[in-house]
Amino acid sequence: MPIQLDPEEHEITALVELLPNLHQSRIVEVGCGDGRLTRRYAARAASVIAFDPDEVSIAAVRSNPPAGDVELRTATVESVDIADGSADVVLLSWAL
Amino acid sequence: MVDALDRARRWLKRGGCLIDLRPAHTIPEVVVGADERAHVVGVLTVEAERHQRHAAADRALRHVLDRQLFVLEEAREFVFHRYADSAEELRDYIAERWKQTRLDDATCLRTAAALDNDAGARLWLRERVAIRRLKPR
Repeated sequence: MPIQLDPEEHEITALVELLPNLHQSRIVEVGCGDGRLTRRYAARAASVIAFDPDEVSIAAVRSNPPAGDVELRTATVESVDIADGSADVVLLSWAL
Repeated sequence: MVDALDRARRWLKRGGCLIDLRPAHTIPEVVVGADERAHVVGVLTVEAERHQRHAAADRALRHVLDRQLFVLEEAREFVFHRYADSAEELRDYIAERWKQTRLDDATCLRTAAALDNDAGARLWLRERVAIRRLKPR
């Protein structure tokens, strides 16, 4: 069996507790990697733009995309095109 | 990192928030056992560069708080577990996925022995993770 990550769901529980209006939120996720966390919350959010500089990781997420309104991009913080004043939440996903 | 926080602030709507999710300042522990029998077999070996990276992230956060670009609304910690079937599987996973961090040979051997000596025991990596919500000022 592959490594099991956070089966107790402590991470998504903590995130949801800090974001009570998640279902209404337009989220920008910085450093989404292989989309592990994105998969756990995206279907509960209004929309998600998730990006990561690693093309291989983004390709892997695209091949099995998360449920919900999710746009995936290969980009860095410096190169990504996000409109000012457009996000309800910016999520630094193990990224800082 | 300060630049990233600055950009994040610009992307936010009025009333929006920033979530900073990342490992807390503790070294992940290797745990073997089940329920009350669980015990820490050892910790991961972490290179100085990883500590420096975490310290730099903290400095960046302090900087934007000191400049009053953000206000810290809430901070908490939780434990994040990664379960493996064997010490070798955990060692290889860390080697493949983590930077500046490894499960050293001695700890790997101790972990394998602890699993062999406790039928029904599970193996997991226990890491403390910090999550913070910040609002732009």
